[in-house]
Amino acid sequence: MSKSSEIQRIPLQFAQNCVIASIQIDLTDTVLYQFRQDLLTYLYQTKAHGLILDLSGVEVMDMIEFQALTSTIAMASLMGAKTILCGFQPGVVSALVNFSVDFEQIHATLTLDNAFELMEQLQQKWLQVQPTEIELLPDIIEKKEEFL
Amino acid sequence: MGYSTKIMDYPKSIWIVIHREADITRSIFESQRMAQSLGFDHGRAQMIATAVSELARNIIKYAQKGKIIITPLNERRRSGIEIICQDTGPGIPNVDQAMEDYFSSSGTLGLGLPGVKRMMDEFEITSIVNQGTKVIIRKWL
Repeated sequence: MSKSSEIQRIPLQFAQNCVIASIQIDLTDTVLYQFRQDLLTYLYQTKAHGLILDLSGVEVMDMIEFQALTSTIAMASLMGAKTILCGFQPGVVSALVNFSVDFEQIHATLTLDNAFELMEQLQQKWLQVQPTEIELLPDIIEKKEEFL
Repeated sequence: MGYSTKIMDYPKSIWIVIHREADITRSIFESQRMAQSLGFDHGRAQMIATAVSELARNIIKYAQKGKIIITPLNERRRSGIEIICQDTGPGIPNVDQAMEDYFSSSGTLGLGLPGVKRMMDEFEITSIVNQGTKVIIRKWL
């Protein structure tokens, strides 16, 4: 009986400065909660710059599971990790689009190889973008003064 | 004998009582299996299962318990799948509002029910306050 109360865990790996989580089991609330705890602890320990979620094993994903996943991604981004989702199945994708979920903030690829490539690009882009964002700041401050 | 085996092969409707998280998983699994055995392709079976998952979650979230009935449909010209989700929970005071995008009574995104409607071919909802909610969804092959 003790086995049934054991929570299934999603394995985490560390490669090329990224944490890779391969989700191959059904996402229930308890699994997602455990995954979130494990993931954030692991990100903190490894100081990873990226996170790749391999969703190739996920057969069904509803709104609530997707929301739980996006909030986990938001938490990872606060720890400085860029997230890429990879390997969405056709049925999962069409269901999520029907839910008219907001995909703008989400990076996704079909394969793990592409995910690593995109991760490299994102890291470089991020390093380039940062100074220009700082340059923009005085402009915003000026506008604010005008407004006041 | 041939007749009896034919009945055995044909999928019958499945009743699932929903009152804990594991029942959601079971209803997802059963609806996906039923859809695939009726001839829906993998992607469409996944969509049906997603719709069932969403409705089963709503039952647990708002009504604590209810039931899901998955029935194969076989009409002369078309066949499909019907899923009835019924609970005896608090009901929805304004059904039209609940069917609008971005409306939620519980602080979530509020895309669940309209999303389910978009995914299926037919969608019927009846709800009486303090008596319960019944959602019927159908998808044709």
